[in-house]
Amino acid sequence: MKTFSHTLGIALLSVSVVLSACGGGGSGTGTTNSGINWPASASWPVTPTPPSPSPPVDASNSVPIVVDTSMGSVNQPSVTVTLCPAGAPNNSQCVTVKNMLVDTGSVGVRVASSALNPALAAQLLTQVGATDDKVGSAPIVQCALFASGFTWGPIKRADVTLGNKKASNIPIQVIGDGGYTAPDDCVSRGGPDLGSLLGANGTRAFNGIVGIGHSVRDSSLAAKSVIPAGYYYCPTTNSCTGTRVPLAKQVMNPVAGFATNNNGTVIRLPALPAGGQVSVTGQLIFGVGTQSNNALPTNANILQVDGNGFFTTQYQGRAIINSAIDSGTNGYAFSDATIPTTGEWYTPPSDRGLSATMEATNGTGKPVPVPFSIGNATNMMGSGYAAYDNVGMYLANLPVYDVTTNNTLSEEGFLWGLPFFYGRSVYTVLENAQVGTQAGPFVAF
Amino acid sequence: MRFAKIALAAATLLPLTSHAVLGGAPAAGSSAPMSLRATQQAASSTASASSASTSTPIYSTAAYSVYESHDADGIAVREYVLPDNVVFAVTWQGPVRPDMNALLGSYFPNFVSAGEERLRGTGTLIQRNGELQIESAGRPGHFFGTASLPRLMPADLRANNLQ
Repeated sequence: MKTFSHTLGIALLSVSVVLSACGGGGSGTGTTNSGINWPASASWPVTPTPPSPSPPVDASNSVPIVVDTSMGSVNQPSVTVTLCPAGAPNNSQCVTVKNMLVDTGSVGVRVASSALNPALAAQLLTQVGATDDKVGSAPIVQCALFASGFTWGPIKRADVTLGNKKASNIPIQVIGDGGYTAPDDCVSRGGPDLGSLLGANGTRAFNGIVGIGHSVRDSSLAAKSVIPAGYYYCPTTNSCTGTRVPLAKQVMNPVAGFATNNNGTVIRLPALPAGGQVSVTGQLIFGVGTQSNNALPTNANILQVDGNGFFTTQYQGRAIINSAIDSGTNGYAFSDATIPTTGEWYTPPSDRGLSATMEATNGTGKPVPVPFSIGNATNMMGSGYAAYDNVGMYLANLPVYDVTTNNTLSEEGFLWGLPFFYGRSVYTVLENAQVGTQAGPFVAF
Repeated sequence: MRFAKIALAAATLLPLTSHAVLGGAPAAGSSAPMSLRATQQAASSTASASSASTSTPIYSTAAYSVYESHDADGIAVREYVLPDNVVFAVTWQGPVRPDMNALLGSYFPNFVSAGEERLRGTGTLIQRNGELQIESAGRPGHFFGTASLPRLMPADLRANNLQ
C-alpha cells in the first residue's frame, strides 16, 4: 500500500516527463526532458559497441534488422521490404519500403498506403472471395486488432521480397487508403487507429508491419466464424459486412510464402552495453535448421506455444499463462508492484536483477529460468538512444477470488518484449513445421 | 470527422450493450449490488448462472463487488462496482477485444488518444490518459487488459493488487 501510494505519486508528478522522454527519443529535436538535464541527443561522441561475435552474414536467407529512432519509439526493430504487383515482369513498378516493424506477435505484411506510390497501389490485385459474400466479387477489407489499436484497410495481393527471398502473390493489407469507411464495430473494439500514426512524419516514419508470428495465415478463427472487428466484404465504400474468409485468402505470413527457408525465422541482435545503444543492426534470418546460419543449437531452450503464441511465465510464485516473447512490444511488460514506476515505465533507483521461469503451458519440455534486469527507464531514455535491454513496463492486473468457482481470476500478462532479444538468437518456428524432432509451433533461444 | 464517428458509434451502440459503463452504473438487467451478506448467499446458490449473466457478483467486499459476464464471442468481461453502483474498473479477456466504446463510455476517447498520441508499435499499450488508466495487451487471437479510474479505486483493491 505504502509502495503503491508512493508509486502513484511519482506517476502523477512525472507523466509529462516520461512522455517527453519517449517522444524525444524519436524526434531528434534535442528537446530537454524536464527533470532530467540531459539533452535528448547525446552531445558527446557516441562509440558504437562492436557486435558480439556472430557467424558471417549470409545474405541469401537474411536481411538486416535495424533498431533506430526513425521508428518513433524505443526498441522497435525494422526491416526493408520490396512490394511489387503480383507477377510484375520487372522492378520498375515496385516500391521499396523501409521502417517496417518486425513483429513476432502478428502475422502478415501490412503497409501504409502513403508508403506506396499511387501507380503501384492501383496495380495491386484486389482480394475477393469472402466466404459470406454470396456474389463473390466484393473486396475483402480487414480490421486488424493489435494490443495498441487497430489497422483498417483492404486486402491486396503483392509479391513481397525481403532480401533475396520472395513470397509471390500473397495477400497483404494496405492501411489507410481511404477507400472504405471503418465500420463502427472496428472503431469501437479497435480503439486507437494505428493508421493515423503510420507513414512519414518529419524525421521519422513507421511504414507498416511485417508479422512473422507462428501462424501461416492471420486468423484460423476467421476462417470458421464471423468474428467482430475482423474481416469484412465491402460491395461499396460505405457498406462493409463482417464475414468469414478462407485461409488462402487471408493475410499471409511472408516467410511461409517463400519457396525455401519457410518454416520460421531467427531474430539475431547483438548484446547492448550498459545504458543502451544509439542504434543497433542485427539480422532477420529465414528458415530454422535449413542452413548453417539458422541451425537450432542442440542446447537451445525450446518452448512449445499455443495457437496464439503464448506460454506460461512463473514470476514470484505466480503462473502467468498470458505470456509471450514479442518483438513488437518495446519493453518487458509485467507486474511487480515493488518496483517504482514513472508513467508506465519502471524506474527503480538502481538496476534490479530479476528472474522468471518460462515453460510450455501444456507441460511439455523443460522449464527455462531466465534472468533479466530492469533499470530506470526515465534516466536511460534521457540519452535519446533507440535500444535499451533493461526497460520494463508495469502491466497491472486486478486479481479477484471467484467465490462461485473457488478460483483466483486474473488477466495478468508477462510480455517478453524486444529487450529480451538483445544478445540472443530467438527462433520462431511455425505451426505444422518440424525442426529435427521438434514440432512447431515453438519459440527457442 | 473521427469524433463525429465515435459519437455516432456511441449513440448507436450504447443502448444495445449488455456491459457496464466505466464511471456509470453496471449493465442494464443487472441488479444493484445488494448487501454483502445477501450477495454472497446469492453467489453460492447460483454458481452455474454466473457465466451467463451479470446479475450476481462473483466476489464482494464491503468496498466493492465484481460481476463477470461472457458473450457469444468468448469474451469475458469483469466489472468492479462500488456500493453506490458506480463501475470503477473493467477487465477483459478473449479472442477479440470487447466493444470498448460500450465498456468505457465517456472514457473511450481517452483510450483512443492514449494510443494515437505517439508510436509504440503493435504491442502492449499502458497509459494514463486523463482520468483513465488503460492497459491493453495481447495479440490477434487473444487479447486481455484492464481499464480503471484510479480516483475511484478502493484502497483495499489497490493493496490486493500489490500481492
